[in-house]
Amino acid sequence: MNRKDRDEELERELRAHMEMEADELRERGLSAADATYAARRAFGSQALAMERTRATWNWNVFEAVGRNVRLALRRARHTPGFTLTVALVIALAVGATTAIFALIDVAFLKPLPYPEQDRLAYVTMTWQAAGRAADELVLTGMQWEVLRDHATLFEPAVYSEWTAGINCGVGDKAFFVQQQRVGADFFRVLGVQPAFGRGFTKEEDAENGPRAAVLSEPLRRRVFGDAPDAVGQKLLLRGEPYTVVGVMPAGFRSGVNADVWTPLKPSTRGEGGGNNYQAMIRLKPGVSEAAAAGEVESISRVLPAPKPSRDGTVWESRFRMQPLLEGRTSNLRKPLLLLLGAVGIVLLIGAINVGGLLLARQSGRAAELATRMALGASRGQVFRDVLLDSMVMVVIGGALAIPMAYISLEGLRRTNDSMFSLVESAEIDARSLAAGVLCTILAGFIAGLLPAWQSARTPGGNRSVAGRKRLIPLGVLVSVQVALVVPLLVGAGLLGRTFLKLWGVNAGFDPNNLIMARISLQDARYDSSEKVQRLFREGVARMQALPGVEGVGAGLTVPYERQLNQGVRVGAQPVPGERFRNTNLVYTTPGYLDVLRIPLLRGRALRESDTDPSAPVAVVNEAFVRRFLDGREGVGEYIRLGGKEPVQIVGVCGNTAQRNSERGAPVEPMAAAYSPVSQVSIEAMRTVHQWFSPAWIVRSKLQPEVLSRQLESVMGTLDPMLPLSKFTTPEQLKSQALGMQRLLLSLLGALSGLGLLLCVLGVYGLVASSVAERTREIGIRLALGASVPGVIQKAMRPGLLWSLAGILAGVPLLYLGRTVLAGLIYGVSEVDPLTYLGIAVVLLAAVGAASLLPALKLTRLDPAVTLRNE
Amino acid sequence: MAPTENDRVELLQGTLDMLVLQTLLFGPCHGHAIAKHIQRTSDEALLVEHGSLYPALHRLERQGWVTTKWDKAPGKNREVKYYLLTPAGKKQLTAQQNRWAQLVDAIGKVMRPA
Repeated sequence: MNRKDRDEELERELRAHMEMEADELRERGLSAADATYAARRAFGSQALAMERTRATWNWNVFEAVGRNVRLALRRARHTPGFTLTVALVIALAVGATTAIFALIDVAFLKPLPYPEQDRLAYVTMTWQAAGRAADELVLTGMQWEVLRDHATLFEPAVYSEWTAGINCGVGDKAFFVQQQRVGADFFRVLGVQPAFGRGFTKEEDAENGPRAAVLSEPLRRRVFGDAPDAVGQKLLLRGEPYTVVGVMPAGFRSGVNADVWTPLKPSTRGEGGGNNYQAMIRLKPGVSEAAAAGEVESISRVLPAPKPSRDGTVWESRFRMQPLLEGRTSNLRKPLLLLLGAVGIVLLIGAINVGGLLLARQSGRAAELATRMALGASRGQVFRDVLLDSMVMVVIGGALAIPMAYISLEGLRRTNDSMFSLVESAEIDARSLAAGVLCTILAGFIAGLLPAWQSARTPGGNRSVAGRKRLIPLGVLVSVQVALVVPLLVGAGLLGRTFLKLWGVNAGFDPNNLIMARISLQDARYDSSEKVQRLFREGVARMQALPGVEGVGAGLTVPYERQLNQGVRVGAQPVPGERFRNTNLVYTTPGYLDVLRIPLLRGRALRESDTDPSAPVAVVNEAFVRRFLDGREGVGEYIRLGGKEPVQIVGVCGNTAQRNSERGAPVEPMAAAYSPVSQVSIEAMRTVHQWFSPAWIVRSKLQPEVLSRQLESVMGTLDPMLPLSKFTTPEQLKSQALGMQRLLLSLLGALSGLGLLLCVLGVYGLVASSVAERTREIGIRLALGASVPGVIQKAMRPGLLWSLAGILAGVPLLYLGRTVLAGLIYGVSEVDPLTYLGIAVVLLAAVGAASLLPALKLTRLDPAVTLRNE
Repeated sequence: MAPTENDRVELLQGTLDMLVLQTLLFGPCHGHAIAKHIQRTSDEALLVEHGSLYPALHRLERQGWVTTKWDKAPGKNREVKYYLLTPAGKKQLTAQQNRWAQLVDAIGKVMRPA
């Protein structure tokens, strides 16, 4: 029997009941009309009887929810402004949460795109001595062999994480590509086989083995176009002939940005003598993580006994297993943790804000709710309705949050091109949308709980309820919001100060009208120092001859980049017990300082005539002098750079901002020595060209597009098989160096701005509802002669006092954020007074304005009207 | 004499079901007659509210203690819905009577100590 039939039957049953009652009454002598009337009256409310009977039918629950949702939707439609405000607040908060979740998901949660990626792990080294520990991510050739030879529970693979720009020549075309070197088992252990062809064989991975290359799909398309089969084709890598043996599937990522892979050919000598290899393992089927970790640890015992270091400490080294995802994102952990905290706070503020809005509206609905309760609605029903009301509006907001999340992520992409890989692979997908839905529901509950509880408690609505007392819950909500926004603002402030400091680090050169492009000299054809020097000499001369070019130079690295680390000793002669200390080395053409406009402070610059390998010279910068020369002037002093022969300092130049490869600020003036390219041996060049691709630096007022085309054609005449990398400007390098700081700042800045906006809304709402409730009282005061400024001041008071309470409550929260912030701010103290003062001023100004605005309404209050208006 | 409002007693929660089942023990009955019967046999002390009676009847039906059928009312040209006690309902009534007797006994001991 369906619902309608049942309803009709019930009605018939009740009608029959009343008719029988009327029959009886008529038999007792009442008139027909009186009998019917009396029977009705005796029966009571037919509607109530039906309602209660219906309640015993089991499908009623769903129906009630449906009806209540319909009612809630209707109520939401009746107050479009209010609904929209609530929905917008939620949309902003949930949209931001969803976008950030998408980022966090990519960095931490989403499985890496390898089959059974949870069975993959890195093996790293841990050094321990006297309670100190240090992690070394890279292994030596000997360590790798120990690991390889003793592995039973897992399959190991070795590779280098370093990519180098190299020249890739096919026919008469040349491409500047990124090369990564991997061991024979690398692709197999990762679990991704080439889409065409095969991976490397053991023979290819051995010294003097056949030269084989595996291409990425994008490079295959770039080089071979639509030609169906690249496998078997020949190409020149670094000037040497290679055969393509495989092409990886589209979308494959090895963990670094590589276009082409070649065999690593691991050894215990050469690069294998130092820490240059990384090891990855895949657990064999059925092997538990703990068992594998145990074996990794136990293999450490086979390692040769450690030698004491110079200061006599014996560092004990041990292998350690680290899950793949954790290893890849360990440097992102802190920043993303910070963002997660921030976005959680914003979500909470948003939810509480909506709670405040609902609560404020509640006072307007008190009469309605009281009436409903008087008519028999239970407290539970009222509670449920109010909660539902908030849920409906919050859900509308949640729907709006989806486009909001898309927009946020897109904005992030536009402003943070340097954090490309992370931001690029983040997307609003089913996972992040699910997170958004969860956040929406959570926000709905938090927002609706207090108003719902309050409404079910309200004994009855009449206008005599003391207004001030009713404001207390609203005030508490405002305080909580302000308290929560305090750490957010302070965090953003400190990051902002850090960024400004880093951004403002004195560049030390003139970055305007400069463009740079790299060439790879890791090339078999450049096998003597003379050939390299001729390339630089002629290149500089020909570029210099271009119209509109003001200056040209070349060097191993340029400002805002990481430089080559170089051990240095001071003095011409060895001294017993002396130690290498770390500085940076840049080989340059004579025009380097000139074209960059790095000021020469003392002595002379490098010259064309500095060619005698037996009398090496160098220019050092001020930071070098300060760090190594103990207050001496520098010019005329001797240092030794790596080798034995003394190098004379002929000049001292200014510092430039460089990317810091060690801990500390990401961009700093670093100590550096500049030596003439004409005095660098081919052996040294071979080594450094494996890692660094030297750059041409050109100063010109020409449009970069025009200039770059001209430079490309110059290089074409000089050596057609020597391609130029993409052109960059110092601004771009700077943005890249500060990419993480910038990303963090833009996100945290946006989040704290959003938080502040919500707080301001909350304060505004508090003062506005206080003013609305007390309009009559204030009207009387004004009529009795109270001054307008005095009344305004009084009206503002709840906004200011509750905010102040919130600020004070927020200070302890700062301690929680301190540890997270510690590794991310540089050059600014965590308790930087300027930041705190600034935040306090901004916050007070904001809440002051938010309190003043609704209070100003009182100036337009006409006491006469107000008094009559009841 | 018709009882005044004050002489009426409120039905104890849960007892209405028992009273309905007891009424149906004498044969099929419709809602109106059930209400009248309870009122009459209690000397008008118990007033059955229709807002409670019909939900109770429908509840009993759902639990399978009564069944229903529409039939002509005797001597009237009108169809009414009759409620009939099922065997399960009879068993339920016995159980409730026992519990009721225990309750009355217990309360009586407390209220009128021997």
